[in-house]
Amino acid sequence: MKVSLLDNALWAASFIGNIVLFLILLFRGRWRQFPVFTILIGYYALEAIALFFVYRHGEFHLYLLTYWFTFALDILLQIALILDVARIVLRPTGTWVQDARLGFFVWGLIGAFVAMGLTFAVHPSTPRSIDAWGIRAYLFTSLLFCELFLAMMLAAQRLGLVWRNHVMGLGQGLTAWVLVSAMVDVAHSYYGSAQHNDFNTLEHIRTLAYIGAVIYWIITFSLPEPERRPLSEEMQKYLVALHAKVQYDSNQVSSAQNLR
Amino acid sequence: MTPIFLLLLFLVLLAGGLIYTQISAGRLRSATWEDLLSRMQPMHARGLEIVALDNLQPKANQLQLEPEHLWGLIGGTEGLRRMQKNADLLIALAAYVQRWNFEEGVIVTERMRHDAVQLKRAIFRIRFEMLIHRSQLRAPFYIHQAASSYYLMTRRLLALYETSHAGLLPRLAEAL
Repeated sequence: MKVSLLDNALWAASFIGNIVLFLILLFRGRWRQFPVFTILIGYYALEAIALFFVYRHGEFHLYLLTYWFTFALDILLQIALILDVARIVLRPTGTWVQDARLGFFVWGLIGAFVAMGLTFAVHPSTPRSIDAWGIRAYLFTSLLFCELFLAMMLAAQRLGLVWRNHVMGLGQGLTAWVLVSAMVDVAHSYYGSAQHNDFNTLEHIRTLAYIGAVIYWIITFSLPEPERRPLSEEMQKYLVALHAKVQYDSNQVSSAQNLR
Repeated sequence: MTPIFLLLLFLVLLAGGLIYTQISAGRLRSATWEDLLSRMQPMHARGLEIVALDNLQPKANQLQLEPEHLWGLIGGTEGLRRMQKNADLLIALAAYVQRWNFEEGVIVTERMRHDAVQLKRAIFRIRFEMLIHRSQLRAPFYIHQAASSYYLMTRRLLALYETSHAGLLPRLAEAL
């Protein structure tokens, strides 16, 4: 497969962006609040190096094996990232806000089933069936990421939770990137991979969106965030008890309603 | 063709939802106290109080208020819409207090979130029953519940401002 100058330029820009962002997360201490995001960015930098060496010096079979292995790891880390953002947004005082967890998981699960059904229903035109499964796998992960993120944002909105600067910046960058990514995957599932040039152009759009998000995150995480007073241990215990009481009362009211 | 059409529809829904929630979260974050207060929509406070207290402080002749009367006192469909809109603003106004009185602000906001969940559930059930034209047997129960939750939210907020920032209390009380 021939690699063009544009391919190399985008790959290099994305790699440099990941390294700069990783260093900012590390040295500005942002990794304490966003451990999974820091691991994900560090992993992207390492993945690029590994794939570069395997592509240049290894066999094509080994490259494919590494590619799919890193793809699986990528999905797991992206799901972990959403759970991490949900932890920050939906547990502002250290305990889950009542109803937030249930709403997030129920809508997340429903959306996952819809995404799976749609992914199986499309039939991209590809020379080999393995390529069609590749396109489906990417499509499913893009849709899953979008809908889990939306479920989390809706839960936060319904409960009137206010986002802080850094998590808001992370969320805005993720929204832009995952939406472009999902659009690219929908286009792939329609056009297939038979037209190599069209396929590459769409991939360039995805990489450009990622580079844009990385630049936005570099700026966001470089800027300071106003300090928030930590809750005392006593107050944390009180909140846990309050949530338990509220949940109990809510169940009692629901049972009484059902008996009427 | 149909799967691609459904896929596009799903993507448009996801994109619309994500953009809407981002804008909404941004607006909530950047709102000032005056902004929040000016966005409050006026309610028929006395009518709401009558319905809420009828539920929270039962007296003799508990069935005196007929369902149509209850519906009129809360302001009907428009009253429900306003309660739902105002609920998020009431929570935001409570969260604002965390700047001056952190611990009490956190606790009261959490309690109000619980009230808001109850309020939204009750409103959803009223609307759902109206939509499917089911028997109106349970409607008074949900109207009582919605009015009580909203009333509790306003009382909690006023009490919080009374102890945290009495200077803003008169304007808040007027808006509620």
